[in-house]
Amino acid sequence: MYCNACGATVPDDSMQCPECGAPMRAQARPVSPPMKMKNYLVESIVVTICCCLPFGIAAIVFAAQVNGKLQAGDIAGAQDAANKAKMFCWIGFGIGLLVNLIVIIVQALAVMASSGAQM
Amino acid sequence: MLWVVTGAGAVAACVFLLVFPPGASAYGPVCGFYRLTGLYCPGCGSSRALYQLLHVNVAAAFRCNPFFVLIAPWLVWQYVNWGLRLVGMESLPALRPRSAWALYALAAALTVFAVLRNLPWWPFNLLAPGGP
Repeated sequence: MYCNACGATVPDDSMQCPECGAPMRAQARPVSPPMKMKNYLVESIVVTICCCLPFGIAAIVFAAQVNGKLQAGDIAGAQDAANKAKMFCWIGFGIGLLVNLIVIIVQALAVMASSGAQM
Repeated sequence: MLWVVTGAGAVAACVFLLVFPPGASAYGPVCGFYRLTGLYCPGCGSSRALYQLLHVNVAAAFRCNPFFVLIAPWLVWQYVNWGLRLVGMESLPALRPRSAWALYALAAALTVFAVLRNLPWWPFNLLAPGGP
């Protein structure tokens, strides 16, 4: 199976991940592809770079909480933090998209207005 | 499918950046956050940095956005890893910080970076996109 915290391959009978020390859930022995706990770190950083600063930073903080809670064995808390990280990523993405669309539209209108005035 | 679409989009964006230098051409879109606030966010200068990276000017890219230059290889790495996982391979190590404190430090460093690069004095103005 795989470690939910770091994604390392872990022997099926171990109680702890040998890579990062995160506790392994007893029932986590899926036959289908294993569920890994995403912490949305990559998404958070992309949102931060793409000019949605406060939301990207908030998402990184929640991504940190995912790792912290997983290391403490708090699976439910980690899932909760992961959901919040995901939410902030989408809020940041949405607001960034909206702001940029509005700016582009306003700019286009301004260009059209000024070219109309010249004619 | 999503992997192919986003990959094709990224390659198209890189080809576009190879031809049109951002900031110096009429086609480069100006960031809405900068337009509205006049402030440099931690991502400001990313496309200029990518333009410089595509032209193998690492030093110039660093002057545009040092954070982006540091994070770009990691983002590419994660992207390749995502694709490998989709086809059922897991060959590259995940390269994710496992300690929660590393991530808290990253969030704090980015916040400090965002404030410092907006200060108009030396040496902080070295952090502003484009540099002095």
